[in-house]
Amino acid sequence: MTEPLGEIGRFAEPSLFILASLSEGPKHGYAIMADVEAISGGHLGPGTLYAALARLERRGLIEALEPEERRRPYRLTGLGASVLRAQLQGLSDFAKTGLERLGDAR
Amino acid sequence: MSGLIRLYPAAWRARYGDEFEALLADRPATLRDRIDIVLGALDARLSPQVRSAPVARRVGVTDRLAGGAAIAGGLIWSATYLVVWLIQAEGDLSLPILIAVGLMLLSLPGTYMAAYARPVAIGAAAFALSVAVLAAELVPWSPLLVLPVLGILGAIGPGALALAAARAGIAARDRWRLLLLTLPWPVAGFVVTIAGFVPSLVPVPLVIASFLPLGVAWMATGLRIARGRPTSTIVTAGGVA
Repeated sequence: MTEPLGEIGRFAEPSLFILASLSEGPKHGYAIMADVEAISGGHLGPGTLYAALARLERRGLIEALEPEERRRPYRLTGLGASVLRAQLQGLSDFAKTGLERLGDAR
Repeated sequence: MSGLIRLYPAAWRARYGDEFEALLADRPATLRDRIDIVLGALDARLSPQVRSAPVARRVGVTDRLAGGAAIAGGLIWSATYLVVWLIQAEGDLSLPILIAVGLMLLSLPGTYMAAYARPVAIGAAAFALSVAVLAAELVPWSPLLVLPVLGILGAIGPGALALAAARAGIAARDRWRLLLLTLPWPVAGFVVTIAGFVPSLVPVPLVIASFLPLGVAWMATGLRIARGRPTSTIVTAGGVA
């Protein structure tokens, strides 16, 4: 289930942030960008945002809704939610293992 | 900023262009964002996620008229120069060449580009300028005025044609084909004018070698149009066609 993000390559990280952002509801480009920057504390450029959106849309992890004026919202699909859950679970397990090992080393 | 968006492929712009511009209107791009957009455009070209697919289109009267005129124009154009070359004919070639140029100029901009150019005003302007060029050719200009007047019109008219071709709502390959057909016109017009005044400067074989392919190319394009091409395009949203 983690493969769809794995094959996205260098856009996997921004894609994960975008999926996480859309997990609370549909958002258009600017709202996604602002939310991802708030979640990650990093910068998300417009070129990277749309490169990731195009990949996620092509893989059926998100879908475009009817545009509101020129702003088109995107929402998470069922597949996208499953992939996000699997990714976050993997990260959680990784973090738990890492913290346990760090604790053992002290 | 719109200049940077133009770096993206046409299919990408058709799918994401509006919302991308809206995003940049909401949050003006910094220098870092501009670099990111350039890299994004490069990625969109190297790893296209959105493609356009040709769509079969009904061949209408417009297509048949435009195609037929382009074929006839190209045929008369090529035949005239070929006859000159084969039988070394000397005489006034202005009438057949004028008819050929008229047919060619009126075919694509008049009945085709005007219908498919975006916005329509560009196609209409190309049509109007083509008519103006044709009309100017019929006026008995004094030798002092003929070069500047026809030279300027000969550059503006084909320039508008090229612009209309560039903005036509047709497949990219066909757009390039039309551009290649329209862009040589200013050069062709200049050479013909010079040849008319100082024939020794432009040898006939050179003129024929230069202009025959142009006529053949117009015939080929006319045939393509009359058969229902160039094609319009659709953009595959979120998928590859």
